[in-house]
Amino acid sequence: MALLSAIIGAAYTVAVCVALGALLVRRLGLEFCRLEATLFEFVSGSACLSLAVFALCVVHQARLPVFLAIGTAAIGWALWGARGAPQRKSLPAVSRGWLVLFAVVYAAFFTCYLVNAMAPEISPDGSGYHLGNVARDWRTGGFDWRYHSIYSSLGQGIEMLFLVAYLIGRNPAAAMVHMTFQAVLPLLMLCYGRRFGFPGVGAFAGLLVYACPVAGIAGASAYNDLAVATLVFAGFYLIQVNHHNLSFNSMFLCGLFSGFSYAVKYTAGLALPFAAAMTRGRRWLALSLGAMAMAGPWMVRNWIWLKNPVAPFLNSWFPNPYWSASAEHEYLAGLRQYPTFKSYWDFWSQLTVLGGLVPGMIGPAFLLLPLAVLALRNAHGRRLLAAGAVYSIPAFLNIEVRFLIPALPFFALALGLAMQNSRGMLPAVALFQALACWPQVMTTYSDPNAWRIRGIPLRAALRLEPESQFIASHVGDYALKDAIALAVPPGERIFSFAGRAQAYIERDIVVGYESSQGWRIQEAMERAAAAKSGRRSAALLAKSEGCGFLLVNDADAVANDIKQGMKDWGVNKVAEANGTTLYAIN
Amino acid sequence: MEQRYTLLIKIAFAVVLVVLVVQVYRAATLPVGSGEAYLYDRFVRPSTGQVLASELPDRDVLYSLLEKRSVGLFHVSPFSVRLPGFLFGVLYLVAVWRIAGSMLGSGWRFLAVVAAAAALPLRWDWFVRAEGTGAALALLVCAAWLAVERRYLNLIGICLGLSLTAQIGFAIPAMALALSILALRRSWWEWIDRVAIPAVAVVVILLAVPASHARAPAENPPELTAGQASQLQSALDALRDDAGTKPIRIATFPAAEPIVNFYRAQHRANNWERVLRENVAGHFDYYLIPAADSARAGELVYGDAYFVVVRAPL
Repeated sequence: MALLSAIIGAAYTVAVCVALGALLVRRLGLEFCRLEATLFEFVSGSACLSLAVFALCVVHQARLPVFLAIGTAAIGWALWGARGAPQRKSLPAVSRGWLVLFAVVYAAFFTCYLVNAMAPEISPDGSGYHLGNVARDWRTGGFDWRYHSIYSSLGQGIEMLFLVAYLIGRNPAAAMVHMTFQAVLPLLMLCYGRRFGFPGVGAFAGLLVYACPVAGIAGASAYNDLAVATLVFAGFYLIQVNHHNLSFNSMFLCGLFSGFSYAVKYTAGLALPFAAAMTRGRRWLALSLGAMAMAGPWMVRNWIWLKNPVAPFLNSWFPNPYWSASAEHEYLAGLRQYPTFKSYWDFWSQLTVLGGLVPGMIGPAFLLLPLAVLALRNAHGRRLLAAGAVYSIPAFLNIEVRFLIPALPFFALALGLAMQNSRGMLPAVALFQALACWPQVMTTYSDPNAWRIRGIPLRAALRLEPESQFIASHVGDYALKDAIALAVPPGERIFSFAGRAQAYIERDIVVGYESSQGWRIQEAMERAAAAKSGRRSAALLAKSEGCGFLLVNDADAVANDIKQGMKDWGVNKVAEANGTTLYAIN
Repeated sequence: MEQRYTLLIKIAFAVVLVVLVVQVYRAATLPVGSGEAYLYDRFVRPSTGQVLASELPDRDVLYSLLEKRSVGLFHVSPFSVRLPGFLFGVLYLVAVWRIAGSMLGSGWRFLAVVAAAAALPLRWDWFVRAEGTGAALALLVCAAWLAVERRYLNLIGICLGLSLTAQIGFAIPAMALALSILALRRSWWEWIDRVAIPAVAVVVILLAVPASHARAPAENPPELTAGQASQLQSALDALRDDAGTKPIRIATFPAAEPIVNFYRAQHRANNWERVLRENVAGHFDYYLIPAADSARAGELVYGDAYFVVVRAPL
């Protein structure tokens, strides 16, 4: 039943996206070819649905009956409008060899990703704040204005789509919605190649990105990176299609994609200036209108709610009581902390093959990336390389390899263009990437700690293995779920020094580094533990901030002090599991 | 230039055949050397995961992959580990024949070049020994042949790339040949597309994963001379006869260690514990040591000018 509802939840959300997109594309009068049209309808519809859910969250009407009513109406309207529509043209054909290779590899990886997405969510950020935010929105019927965390103040463009799926099929449904973006991206790349006369290159690049290990795991989890990659690529595609004759409507849609990219992940805000640069400022009004339609609501929300339109960043420009500039500085410095590499080769091998020091890897075929500069001889290649360079910028600000994902489609296409005249090389390299990136094959050579798909958990996906057993074996915090539900009254908050799997804990958690309130509690407790005095006052401070419970990992700085001096702190141990202890403050 | 079956060509053909027969004979009869046994023991015998986990710099990636296939098909023997090398020898002779035919016609010079080029590798047993040098040379000559005949340009790049993966030391000759092709053809983009890119792609496909794992310092096993290698086989035969089927531990010296393990695999002597190079301690049943160090107590099982096998007292 859980599996069926997850599939229905994801399918329904995707269907509503396509329906809304079909209505929008028809309204804008944009011409697309057959497969291309469906893909663009999904992408543009996802922006519309996200915006609609945002509005419902603001007025606290994000409830299943409302979603069902709006979605069903949209689907009906789209079907009604599609009656008698002329048949669309088809894009230039792909050769049979490429078609077979693409279909086989795509089908194999699609199955692998689908099974992983269908299994209960166990990814760190997915079960942490992405679905944590969704679960909170579900509990309150919209945005919870009382809860402050850097992760709840980020744009939640994709979480708005997750919410629709979540209400029907819970966590796996949300992951499957993200997986749909992942499945759309290589098809869009294939269409791009077909439209511009290099179908083999499109298929090659699509396979390279689809098989990419970090894109695989991120796409099959409730993250947002593949949605960002698909959106920025769709925006780029749209500009290329209309390069010589930029219409107001096409630029409005491009703006919509740019704005939605920002709403999904701030780093993708680069899409707007890049689109403006690509079009040399033509139709800037349409572009800006589209972008503001999607990004504007999130900025206004944050401005009114947190006094900072770009919260949780630029706090020195927009001082607010919820997060300080110094905390922001410390947090960002931590994200930029690259490990020490012995050599350039060490860095490249970690990035492409091993994936231990930089979490995740992009696949060994990307070692050929330097060859992509040869695409500079081609006008398309120059634009693709420029886009790849621009969308790589966020990777310099965060060590996680997934921040490179939005740049990969551009680099893969540029690499394909550079190698397209070398007969037999594109299929050979694509096949190599596919074989080398198959989960079982990766086990033989990648770092044991690399963030990647580790298998095909069919039993967990089909719920033959109990959901709770599967989650508990991967998510440490899950063991405390029942204890928290029993001991912590609804509405009560818990303080934690580290981030938690909030998707599975039905109480709000105030994390130390995620808000000014958290910082206050954390600093007071750490100071008390170091000075060995004022422990009770620190515990009472947490209680006065609304946190009557503490979740402490054995590795936390204060863990031993609390364990040995529960009386001094005035706390009681409630439960303990997997190196984490739940305390109640008396 | 079209060749006719002149007497000189028939002689050249006979020379090539003789060289091939000699190579087959030597491949089947020469005792396995330390380098060959080392390649088998470190890179062919273990699973891919174990090879990568050992983090050793893989000397001859292409050869070890082909040797793995050959051993999988024909079980471990001196000939099966050398079979890929022999086949590269055939490729080398074909390439030499075609280059000489294209450039020198079918006269005396053709005969002289073919005979010299065919016989020269015998001096170092490049196509007899199980190592990457012969493979790399054959692929390089093959690339030169395709360049001389001005066809299958893509294959030139692939051959150059494979040559480098067969023996990394061939990077400079491969690059020199690639640049010579550029100098001759004077078509930059054609060279990039047909030579450089295929070469680089092949290198990345075959070396990306092994090179990422090659972090440990290289092991350089000391080589035995041909005579020593031959006597070592006799020593091992004597040891096997003496030990029978009872489980045994053997202590030996670094140059013999991979050969003992090779012998163990070849004769499926599963009652022999694998010999380790390092962290060797505890009780041993047999000592296989150079004759010069034969002061160890125990019963002599075998002895010659080079080695002795001593059974340890119970």
